[in-house]
Amino acid sequence: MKLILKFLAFLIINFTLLNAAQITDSFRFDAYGNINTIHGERNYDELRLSGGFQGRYKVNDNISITSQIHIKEGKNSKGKPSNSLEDYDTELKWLYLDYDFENDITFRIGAFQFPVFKASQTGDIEYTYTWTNAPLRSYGVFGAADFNGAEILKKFSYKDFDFLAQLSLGESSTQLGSNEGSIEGNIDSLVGLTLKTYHESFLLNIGYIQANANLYLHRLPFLNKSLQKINQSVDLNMIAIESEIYLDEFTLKSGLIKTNLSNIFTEDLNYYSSIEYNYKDITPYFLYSKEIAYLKRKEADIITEAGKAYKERFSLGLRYELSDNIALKFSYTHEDSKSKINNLRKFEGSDNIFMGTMNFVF
Amino acid sequence: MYFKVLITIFLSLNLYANTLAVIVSQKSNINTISEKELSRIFLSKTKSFPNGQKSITIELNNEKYQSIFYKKISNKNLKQLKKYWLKMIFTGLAMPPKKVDTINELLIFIQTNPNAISYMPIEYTNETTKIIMEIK
Repeated sequence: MKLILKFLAFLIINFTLLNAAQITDSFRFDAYGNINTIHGERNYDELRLSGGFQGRYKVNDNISITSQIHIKEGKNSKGKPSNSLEDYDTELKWLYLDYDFENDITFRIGAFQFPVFKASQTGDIEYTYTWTNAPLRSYGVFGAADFNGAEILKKFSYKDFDFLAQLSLGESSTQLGSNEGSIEGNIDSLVGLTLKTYHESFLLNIGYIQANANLYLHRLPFLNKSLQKINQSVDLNMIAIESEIYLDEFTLKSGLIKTNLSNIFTEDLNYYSSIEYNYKDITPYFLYSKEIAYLKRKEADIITEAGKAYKERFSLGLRYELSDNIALKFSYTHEDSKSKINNLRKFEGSDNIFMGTMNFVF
Repeated sequence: MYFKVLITIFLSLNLYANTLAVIVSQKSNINTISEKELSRIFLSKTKSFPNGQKSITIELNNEKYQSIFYKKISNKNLKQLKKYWLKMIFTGLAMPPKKVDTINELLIFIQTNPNAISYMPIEYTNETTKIIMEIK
């Protein structure tokens, strides 16, 4: 009952108070919300509510400031997902200042999401994509998918092709796990290069990011050494490709991320492919994705394979445009997971997941 | 005979009402533009005119005119256009044109901004505006 009341309150707040608008000549406000219901065969049901706001203030014809805040369910004192208002988490996704030069060059400074993938930049705004979920769980490297720093963007065109080239410089941080025993990383000297190509019949984004990280292990308190540096100068890199091909009513979408941490830990290979048919307000789709982690171990400067883990998903879904700013989506997903570490620990499992979502934007 | 004349007048008036003029300020150096260039400017794929001069887009808050204009320059209907802008806005790559509610506001903005470009029904254009393209 409580949950239903919260759900209704969430809807009322969103639909009555929020309105995308050019509030003044200088200020634009946009908002979004997601309601997800999930039923898995492994005996769980979830209702997730999330939303957020984006504001853009134009200081003058050359300078603007953009900020996006995402609000999502948090965890209760037992560490379980909680929709209670006291447990909600607020996350600053974007905060940057743009300076527009002549000739379509923009200098940007602040906090950003990793470029290349549309889903990495709009993943929380589920209305912007067809599926019930973004196809891959991570669009970054080693748990980091955002960074603080500066970017230079240049738009240009050649014949019927439009391009956007993006040079990114900055730093980031990551934390894998939230308790003792978790690993923290400071990612420095991050350099990224992205080229996005737009054409009437396709889109192609290619990106490369490389950086250097220092990793720390949070030790158990009784060891009297709470933070221990476990490796210095870990080189990490990420290659990403995303494409969309438009063939009449059909759209083919695919993406690939390959990340690598030299010296230690994992090498990841994640990819997806989907086909959708756009018929008026209805879009049925099929989505396939696979996420593979190759685990490695370093002993006496020799790197050996220590295991492999993967997750494979097949989804069949439907998107329906209820109105100009509301989309309903339904999907069935079959998920297979398998992992094997040093021939000692093995895991194998599968699940069937049903999802219904309502996404809206203002 | 009278009936035919009335029909002809009605049809030509209707045709006239659906003709949009792409306009810039009389002070602007821009005299002509292609559909492709117009599309790139209004979809914010560039912020400059082909001669390098900065461009500022502005449009009337009117779905009928927007529908005609964007169908012609980008082959997008208003629903597709909305999705396009959502992705652009939320990825921080571009913002849609500034919108005004009245012809008068639009004319004043065009008159005072040599970099501005817009479109409106051709019958509302005046001596402060320069027509660089007609869209029927």
